[in-house]
Amino acid sequence: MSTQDGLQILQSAVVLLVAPLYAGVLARAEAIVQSKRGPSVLQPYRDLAKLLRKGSAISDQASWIFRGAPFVAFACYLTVSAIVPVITDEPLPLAFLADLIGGAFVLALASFSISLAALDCASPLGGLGSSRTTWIGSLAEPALILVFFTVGALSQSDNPYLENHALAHSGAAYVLPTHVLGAVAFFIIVLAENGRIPVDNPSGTIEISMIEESRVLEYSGREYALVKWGSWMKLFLLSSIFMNVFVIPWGLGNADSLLGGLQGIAALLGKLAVCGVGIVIIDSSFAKLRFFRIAEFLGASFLLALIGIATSYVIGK
Amino acid sequence: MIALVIALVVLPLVGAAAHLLGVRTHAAGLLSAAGGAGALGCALALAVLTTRNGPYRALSGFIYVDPLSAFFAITVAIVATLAGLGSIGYVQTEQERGELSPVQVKLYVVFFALFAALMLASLEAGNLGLLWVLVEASTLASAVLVALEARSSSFEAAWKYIIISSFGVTIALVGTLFLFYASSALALDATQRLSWAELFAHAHALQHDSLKLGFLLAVVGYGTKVGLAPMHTWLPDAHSEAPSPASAMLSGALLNTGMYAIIRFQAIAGVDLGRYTHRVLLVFGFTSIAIGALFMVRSTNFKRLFAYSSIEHMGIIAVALGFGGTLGYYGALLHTLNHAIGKCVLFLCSGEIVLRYRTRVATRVRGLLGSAPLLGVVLLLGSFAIVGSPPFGLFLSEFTIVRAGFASSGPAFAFLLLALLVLAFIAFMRTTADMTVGGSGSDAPAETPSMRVTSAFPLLAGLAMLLVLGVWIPGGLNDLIMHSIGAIT
Amino acid sequence: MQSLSASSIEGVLLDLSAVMMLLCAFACLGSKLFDRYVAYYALQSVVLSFAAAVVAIHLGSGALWALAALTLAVKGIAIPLATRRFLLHRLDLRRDVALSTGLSTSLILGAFLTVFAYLAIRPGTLPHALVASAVVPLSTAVILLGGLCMVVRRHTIAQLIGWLILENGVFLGAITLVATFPFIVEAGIFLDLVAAVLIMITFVSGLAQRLATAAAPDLRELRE
Repeated sequence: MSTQDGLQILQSAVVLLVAPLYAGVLARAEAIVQSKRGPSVLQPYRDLAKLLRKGSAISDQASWIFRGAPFVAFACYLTVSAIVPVITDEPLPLAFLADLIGGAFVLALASFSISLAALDCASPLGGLGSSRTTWIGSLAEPALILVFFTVGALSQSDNPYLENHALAHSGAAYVLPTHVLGAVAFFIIVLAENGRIPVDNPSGTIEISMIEESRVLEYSGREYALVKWGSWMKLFLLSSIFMNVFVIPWGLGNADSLLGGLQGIAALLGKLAVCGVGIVIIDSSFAKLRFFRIAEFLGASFLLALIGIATSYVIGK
Repeated sequence: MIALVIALVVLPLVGAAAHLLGVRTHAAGLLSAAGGAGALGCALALAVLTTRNGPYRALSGFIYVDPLSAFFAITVAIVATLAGLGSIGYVQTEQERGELSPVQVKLYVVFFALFAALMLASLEAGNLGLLWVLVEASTLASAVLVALEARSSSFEAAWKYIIISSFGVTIALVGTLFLFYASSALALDATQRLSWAELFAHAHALQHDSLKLGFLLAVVGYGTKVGLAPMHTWLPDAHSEAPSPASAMLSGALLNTGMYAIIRFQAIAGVDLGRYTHRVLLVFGFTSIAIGALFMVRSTNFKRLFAYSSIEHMGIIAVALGFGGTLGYYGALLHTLNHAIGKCVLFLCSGEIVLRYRTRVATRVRGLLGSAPLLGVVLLLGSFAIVGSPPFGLFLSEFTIVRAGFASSGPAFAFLLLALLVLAFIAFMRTTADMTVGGSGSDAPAETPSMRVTSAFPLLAGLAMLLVLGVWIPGGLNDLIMHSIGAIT
Repeated sequence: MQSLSASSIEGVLLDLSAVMMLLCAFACLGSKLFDRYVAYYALQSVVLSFAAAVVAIHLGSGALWALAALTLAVKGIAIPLATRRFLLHRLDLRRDVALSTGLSTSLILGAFLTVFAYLAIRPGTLPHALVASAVVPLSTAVILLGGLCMVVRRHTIAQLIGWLILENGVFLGAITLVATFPFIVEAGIFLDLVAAVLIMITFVSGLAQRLATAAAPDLRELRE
């Protein structure tokens, strides 16, 4: 097994193992900002351990779709973890699988399978949740594609690694309007895709206003553990793409040595801390939007990316 | 020379300064009018000196006086003097009736003087940036006059006026910017690159695309101030809501100041792009005449009627500039002077009518010849003068312009101009003839205050000047106009 | 005076500030609260003064430094404060309801205008731009958006802010296209701006006292 194969495994392992910690830290930090004590940062691991030990109750109306969906989703997230820059600055052996657009499709497949599962067991809340998520997704998708175009305008490719190199090697490219606008637009999408405030409240408890959570209300036990774990991985992945590709393109590890990988992990933890601060600030200073204003929020992302692309055309870069 | 240049701006302010120092309104008004007359003297002196000795430059081109500036300064000074005299009676009557508070009177006197001084100053500015600053400043001063009577409708008119004019003038700033940019290839420093004389001297070396854009934007921008259609929408409101002597200033002086700026830009752009500038001015000019004439047909408020007539006349001047050639420019300048005096007389007259009848609706004023013979005669003769009938000056200038049309662009445009003039004639006279000689339905005014000397004098003096200009152009004026044309071609 | 290309750091900073100003204009167009209008305008002016400072560094020009400082003091601080104090608070204005189009429609119109400005004025059409030519289309877009703001909003305050945004666009174009007017002229322009805003504020409060609202649709007395 070469060093690169080792790093490949290390990268996916990092995503798998650190994602719950990231979610736990976010929850704790938010609680502290709101003057509460909050759960321990290790709470997600405890939840996982408890859920994995439990058996699951599945409605007798549910079909194989309901059973299979968590595995499909989890596999999707694991796939993405192999192809995007998380700890190294050069593509790892499996990165040829997909570019940014391909990665987005895999993430969309995960969301789609969960939506199907929510419809499958015929619970009204599940239907409500999946229709809402699909609506938001359908608004976020065009904006996301435009964000990829801003990336393309800068690096002449849709490969996250090349974008990272283009930015890391030129201070001028870093403050280019195209890039700044694309980054802000992408951050909005990260918030929307992960169901954070102001799109959805991750700690909400009222079923009727939930979006993301109401899709998975029917799950329990092992399947629920997979779904939760998957959604933490999604947050972790999108945050690290956001940081590594858009905000702090420096500090990624050398892809030829394990030491480089370890250094990359250390840098990643620092970057995620920065991203987490941003998310916590937004979570605690904004209110959740009324449902139909979400379109305007995502429209802003679309507009930003569009202006970014048009500007790149004007500036010629 | 510099003393004259400064006196021209300072003299109109004397009355206002005296009023602020405690001189009573009536005396301050007389002093204001005297200041205007003094400014007129300065302008005449400048005219004589510049035609004899050539243009005067000072302060690295910030001050530049040539025969054209002197000509426009004379126009503005005449209007300022007449309107200044007319203000005395108007303000006093309004104050006695309690329509204007002492504070409002003070505001009126101060801003009236400021308005006149700023316009005169802008005519002496040789730097196009400074010209812009002063034109915008005169807009602001006049906006206060429009809002003076503090009714909701006058605030509304003032709001429209200030927001549309500021918008327009900002566009003129962009035009100035492009002109500045067009000169970037020249080896001049920043101050010289905005100086009109330098730009005019180097007009061949200017970059054409930016020059074209700059000229177009300047016409649109300053055209908003001139009231060229379709940027004219503020004009009828502001003219009808302002106190009548202030309307006279707006129509007789402010519009001309805007036109002056356009002429300056045209002079620069016309060196290489003559046909382009002519086309632009013809389009705006004919649109304005048509719009002015058509709206005159359905105007029931006589002050608005006069305002639409101003739009029409500004259109005529623009068309004359568009015809070009010595004849065209001659007609344009002569028409500027004639229109300024004629419209000044009409607005002052409308002020007296408003004071008597307390209405601005034309149908409620009937049989003026019977109830107030002097006003009736002035209104009738003034109307005949403004629509261009002989033997008044406007006939002569419109005739010159039509001749210029035949000479330069062929008969089509000239006939179009004639047709529109006929339409304007009918639309205008229909209303004013009824006001003066129409008998039925008359609301006789409740009170008939006797006319003050200070109010009657400007009316008669203005009419007399129009009459003189209609039959005889003094040799000095002819010289001045010919030298002005020499300065811009 | 050498020109700045998009790859030098000053050129990029200028581009960035121009885009930020464009975004402020869009934000203004997409909001409904008077407070926000003023805040976005203030932010835009601060960015403008930053852009002026960048050009000042590039050209080593003292006049431009003064201009940057003036912009910050007058447009970034004084005008927003005065508007807030004398209009918004005194008249208790919160939410603008006098819109002639919906927010999304005006945003879409704004996007079209931006694209139009980009297409109409490409950097290539300006043969020798003095500073950064890419800013010119952006400032044109800001000018158009300011105009759009004046058209689609019918409240007098929104029109005032629209005009100020337009003015900012002109200034952005001025500092980048021609670097500097003579300072006397610049100072005069500023003086006019301040006087205009003061007079407009007076008019708006005068109108508001007489009409209870100062929304332009209620200004219909002078129609024929």
